[in-house]
This record gives sequence, structure tokens and C-alpha cells, in this order.
Amino acid sequence: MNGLNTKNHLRDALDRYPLLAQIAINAAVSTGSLLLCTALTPLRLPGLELLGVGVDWPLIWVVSWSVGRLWWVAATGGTVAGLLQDGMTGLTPSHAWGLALVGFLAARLHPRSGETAWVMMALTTFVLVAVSETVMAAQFAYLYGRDASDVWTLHQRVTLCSAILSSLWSPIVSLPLSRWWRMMESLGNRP
Amino acid sequence: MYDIRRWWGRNWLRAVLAVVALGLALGVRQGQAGFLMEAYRALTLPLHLGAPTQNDLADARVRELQQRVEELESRNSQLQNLLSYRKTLPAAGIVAPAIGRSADRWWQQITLGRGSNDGIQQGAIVMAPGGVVGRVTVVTPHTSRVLLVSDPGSRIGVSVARSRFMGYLRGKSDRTAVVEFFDKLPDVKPGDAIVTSAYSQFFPAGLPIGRVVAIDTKRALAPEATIELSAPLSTLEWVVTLPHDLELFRKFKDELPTDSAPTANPAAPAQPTPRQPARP
Repeated sequence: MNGLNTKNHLRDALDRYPLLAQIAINAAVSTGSLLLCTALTPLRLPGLELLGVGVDWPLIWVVSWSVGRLWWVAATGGTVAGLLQDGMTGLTPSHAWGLALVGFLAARLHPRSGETAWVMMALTTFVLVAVSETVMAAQFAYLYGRDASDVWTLHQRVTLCSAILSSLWSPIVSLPLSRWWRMMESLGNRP
Repeated sequence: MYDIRRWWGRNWLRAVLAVVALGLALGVRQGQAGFLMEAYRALTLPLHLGAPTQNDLADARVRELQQRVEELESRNSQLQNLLSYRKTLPAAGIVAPAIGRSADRWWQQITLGRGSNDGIQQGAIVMAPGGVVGRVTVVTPHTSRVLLVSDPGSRIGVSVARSRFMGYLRGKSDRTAVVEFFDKLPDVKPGDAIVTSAYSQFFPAGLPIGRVVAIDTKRALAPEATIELSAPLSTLEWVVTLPHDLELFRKFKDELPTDSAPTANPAAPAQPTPRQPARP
């Protein structure tokens, strides 16, 4: 009840601003959340790690971003998140390919931005982690000359651990963000 | 044409924002996301660790010392040139806390809570009680990113401390690594210490890395040894970074062949040999 009230207050407050200011605030929240998701990737706390594998925060952000958006807007969001993650790790192979594909697929799987149940979001995250890790593994094995059998053994462990952890933690990012973007949409502001 | 204009009329803001976002992200990527690493340090500041206790380090330090002794004995028996040996000794190090792990699942990296403001430079060697941890690949004012020796992409020239046979080490993304030897029949057995070799591009020679646990001689081209890395990479809390002067090291590498060739520089290696039988 309380949450609903504050949300309405927030919506009313935002409604008083001109459209350009709303767009600016929305852009700030979108980029800010993405930067936070990228900057916190090196963090490992108990519960955020399984066999040395951490949560894929950028992928969770891309899935939340892509729900109910045009496919090329979703893919652009994925590419941006991937480029940022490249900066945090190493330039090649690029995470952008996998995350762009994730954005595209998420936009196709959930074309309407209505209330998507968090269980569905978690399930989507689980499947799309496998897609993104497979793209990374394929790049390592066939473009960058790593030992293919080593890569695919690591791929199994990485995909399973990351999919479990990321789908469990996905509501913490996707619930507030999708609520925010839905609210902005109801104000007629939907980049 | 009309379709394109209509699409542009509806989507121009999205398209412009998409181009701007892609451009900025590309800029961040090429700049190695320095400000994100700084932001990470600032955000996780309350979680950083206090100094480690001596007891925590004792076990690993004993293992490191055992390997160092083995390496030094081997060097002595070969009467290595004192000058070139001194260059391989570690200089004064900078102690830094490990504040983060890799930013994805594929790279084996750690983030240190100290950077260029504290004197850490790109290419610095990172050591922990136990042996070599990795080398610094990116430095920001307060953080530095370390590529661990366990990363499959960090190929390091190594040698067997006892028999001096050389090979290169390839990480396996966990506590083990694989050494591929250049010789077909290297003198190596389980328990041998593996150290960085003089031909390693990124590391000075003689730093302990790990110990051989198994050997696969059935491989067609060259035998492989599985080694256990001696530094506790998965539980690192504090590390020491040593400056790695690449210029000095290149000079040292150039000198090496002349030292070992009998005709080029007879004074340095030949002198100690006749002295040895005269001693008793």
C-alpha cells in the first residue's frame, strides 16, 4: 500500500516536468542502473558466487531492458552493456555479440511490456544466460584459438552456475526497473 | 523513401540515443572502463578487509620458501652468473588488497585496491605467499586489474627448477594448470617445482609458480604436465606487486645467450668451474 502511494506520488511529481526533462530523468535512471550493474560485476559475496562463478548482472539488466521494446532498441541496449563489460574484462572476445542476441531474443519472447511475472523473467534469464555464454564460448574456441575441449568443459560449469545464480537474483534488478519503465511509459515516455 | 521518412519521424529520438549510447559505450570499452573500476572501489569500500594475520600466511609461506630453496639450490649447482641472478631477485614491493574478482565468468582476473597513485604500473608482477599470482594489465588511480596465471590466455614461459627443462604454462581456470614442454623427453616427475623461465616475456626468471602433480607422456607432440598452482588464487586477500622493468629485462635476455655460449664470454661462466675441485 505504502509502495503504491509513493509510486503514485513519484508519478505525479514526474508528470509536472516537461517531456524533455522526463526523457532526461529516464535516461539517467537507465544509464545509471546499467553502470551500477557493470561496476558491481567484480563483487563476490557469499550467495553471489557458486564454484567461483558470479552473477551476470549486465545480462539481467539487458533482459529487463528488452521486455516490450523494439527489437533493435533491445539489441542496442545489449550491445552497449556488452561493450561496457568488455572494458571491465578484456577487449577480445567481445561480450557485445552475446548480449545483443540476448536483447533481441528477450524482445521477441516478451513483445508486450505489460506485467511480466517475475517467474517468467527468471526463466527467461536462465535460458538467455545459456545463449550468451555459448556465444562467448564459441568465440573463445573458434576465433581466439583456445583449446576447444577446455573451453567447452568450462562452458558447462560456467553456464549452469551462472544461470542458476542469475535467474535467482534477477528480480532484484528487473522488478524495480520494469516498474520504473512501465511508469515512464504510462507518462507517454518510452525510448 | 516515404517509408524511411515515416520511420525516421517516429524513431528519430530512439535512433539518435542509440548512436550516442553506442559511441559512449565504445569509448568506455577502449578506455578499459577505468571510472567503473574506481566506482566499484568506492561502492565496496566498507567491505574491504583488514590486514591479514601472520598465522593465515604461515602455511603458504612455508610452501613458497621450500620451492624457493629448491630453485636456489639448482641455481647454485649450475654456478649461475651472480650479476644476472641479482637482476631476477624481487625488488621492494607494494602491498595491495584484492577487492574484486573477474567481471565475467571467462576471465581469471582480480581487482586490486591500489593503483597508479600508489606507484603500481602496468605490467607489474603480482605475488602472494605461495608464488606468482599474475601481472597487472590495467591501472587506474586507485585500482589495478590483474590477469591471473590461471587464465587460459596468460601463457607463461616456465622451467622445471630441478632439471631446467623449459615449456610454457597454460591456465585451466581453476587451481591447476598445464605445462607443455618443448622437449620430447623432458626430465620431470611429480613433485618437481615449476618456476618462471628466463625466456618468459612478462615475468623475471625464477619465481615459484607451482608443483607438478601428474604427467601425461602419451601425447603425440610433446608431453604435458599438470601442475598445482601454489598461490591460493581463489582465496586471495592481500598481494604484493613488484615493478617489472621490461627494458632491464630485455637487456638481461639479450645477455643470456652470450653467457651460456662457451666462446663468446669465457670469463664469467668458466671461472668458477676450475675453482670448485680446488676447494677441498
